[in-house]
Amino acid sequence: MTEADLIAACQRGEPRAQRQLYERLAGLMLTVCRRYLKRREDAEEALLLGFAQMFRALPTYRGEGSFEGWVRRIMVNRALMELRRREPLTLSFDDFAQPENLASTPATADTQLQADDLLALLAELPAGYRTVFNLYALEGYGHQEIAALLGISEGTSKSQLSKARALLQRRVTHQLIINNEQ
Amino acid sequence: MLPEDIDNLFRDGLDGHVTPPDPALWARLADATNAAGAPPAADDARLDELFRAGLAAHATPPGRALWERLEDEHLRPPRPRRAAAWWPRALAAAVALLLVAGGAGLLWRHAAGLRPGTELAARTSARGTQGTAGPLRPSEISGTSKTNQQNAVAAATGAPADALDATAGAPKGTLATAATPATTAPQVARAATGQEGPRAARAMKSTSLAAAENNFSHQATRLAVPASSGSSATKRAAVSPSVAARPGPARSGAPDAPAPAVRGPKPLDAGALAVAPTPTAAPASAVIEVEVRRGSAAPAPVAAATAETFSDDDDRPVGRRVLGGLLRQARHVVRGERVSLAEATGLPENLTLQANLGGRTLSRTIRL
Repeated sequence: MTEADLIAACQRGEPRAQRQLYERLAGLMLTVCRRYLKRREDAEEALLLGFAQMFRALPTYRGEGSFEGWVRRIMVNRALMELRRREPLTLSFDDFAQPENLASTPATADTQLQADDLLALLAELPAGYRTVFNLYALEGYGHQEIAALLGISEGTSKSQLSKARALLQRRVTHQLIINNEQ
Repeated sequence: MLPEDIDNLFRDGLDGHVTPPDPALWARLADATNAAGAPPAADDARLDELFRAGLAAHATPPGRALWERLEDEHLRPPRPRRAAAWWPRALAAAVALLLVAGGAGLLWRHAAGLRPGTELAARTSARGTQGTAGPLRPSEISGTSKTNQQNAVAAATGAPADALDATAGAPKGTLATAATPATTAPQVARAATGQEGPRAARAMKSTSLAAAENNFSHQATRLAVPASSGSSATKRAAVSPSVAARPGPARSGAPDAPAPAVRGPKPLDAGALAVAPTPTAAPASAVIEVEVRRGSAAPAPVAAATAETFSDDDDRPVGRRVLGGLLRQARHVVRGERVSLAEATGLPENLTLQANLGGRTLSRTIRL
């Protein structure tokens, strides 16, 4: 069954198609939610609510753009809502990384880190850093969009991104050292 | 040595001296220079690419229960997928209902147990020709029952024959009133023929005699009214088969005196008022009859009632029986089986209330 057929069947409310669509997208979308939320239970809750919202909104989907991208946006919004409930975002926007803590050795793209390692590194970030980094670096949002989405200024968004990167570089290096020792 | 000479010594010895550096020192310096001079955007891009590539296609398998939760809570919430959420409430409600019903049954039985004989045959009738006979008092019925049990047996054994004869059109005016012990509520069996004239008078006379003999005259004379004025050949009688089967001196041709008979306490239906169905052509305006009966079936014709229906072999105390019934129903609830209020309280499954008022028959069946 093609994606279009599957979407059409889901729009008709067929349970089997809904199950199939869920199985096709749930894993990817759970990773998206895990990038924003520390605890897997919270990520699964966001996934659950996101799918419920997606199935409700599916009749309004006009097939413009990537369907996976459409679902991903729903999941990101739902994860952010869940994040606000679980981890108050504003408390994490304080300066966390001092200049002396920043990495001196840059991480490279060929660094061999597993996805779970990367998710763990993201989970260790303060919520504000993690959110801005996710939205900017991985989702492709601009600072203006991020500022509107999170209710912060563009300058704060840039600052959070810079500090998040610096912290991640340091931790990636540290993680690589650990991996090499093992 | 003068101080000026020391200064000159070091100045002349070290001036122009060259110490060759370690070759690795330049490499380290070069690395440091490159790192410091590299644009920060390149590092950021590499870091972003690291996370983007590592996580873009990564899928985290969700828990198995997540889809079921999605279905139950959001996609198809009305579907009762799991009954565990409501069954404790249902169990509590069922237990409460059983307790209330059991208490009501105990009260009913207790109230019934205060009456002697616990069987009541009473009739509320209004008649024009014979006057009004009030409802029977339990004491009267009890006394009558005790003294006339033999007559009751005779009536019970003889009445069916008369009734059958009458149904077949035999010109014989008979009235048979029998309180059947098996029903626990006395049933008055009446056989009436549509006779007029002397037959009716004779019937009246015979029933009056029977009534006087049995100290139950008010019933006999009352029952004579429809016999004398009725024109229908329809005759119905309700006789307990247990009584009918009981050997006893049958008085053939006896006018079937009314004989309420009692066989042991029947507390359950002691308050029931049982009167045999009236002939359809009886002067309905003169008689008001009310019948409360187990079950929902129509009034049984001659010997139609089953003995086992009315048998009561359980000699346990009432309280223990009710308690046992309640415990059985609780077990049914736990097992998810059907709960019977009648079984829990010892009440009959169905009660039929039938009233004949002014030629109209009103019938109501109550299912417990």
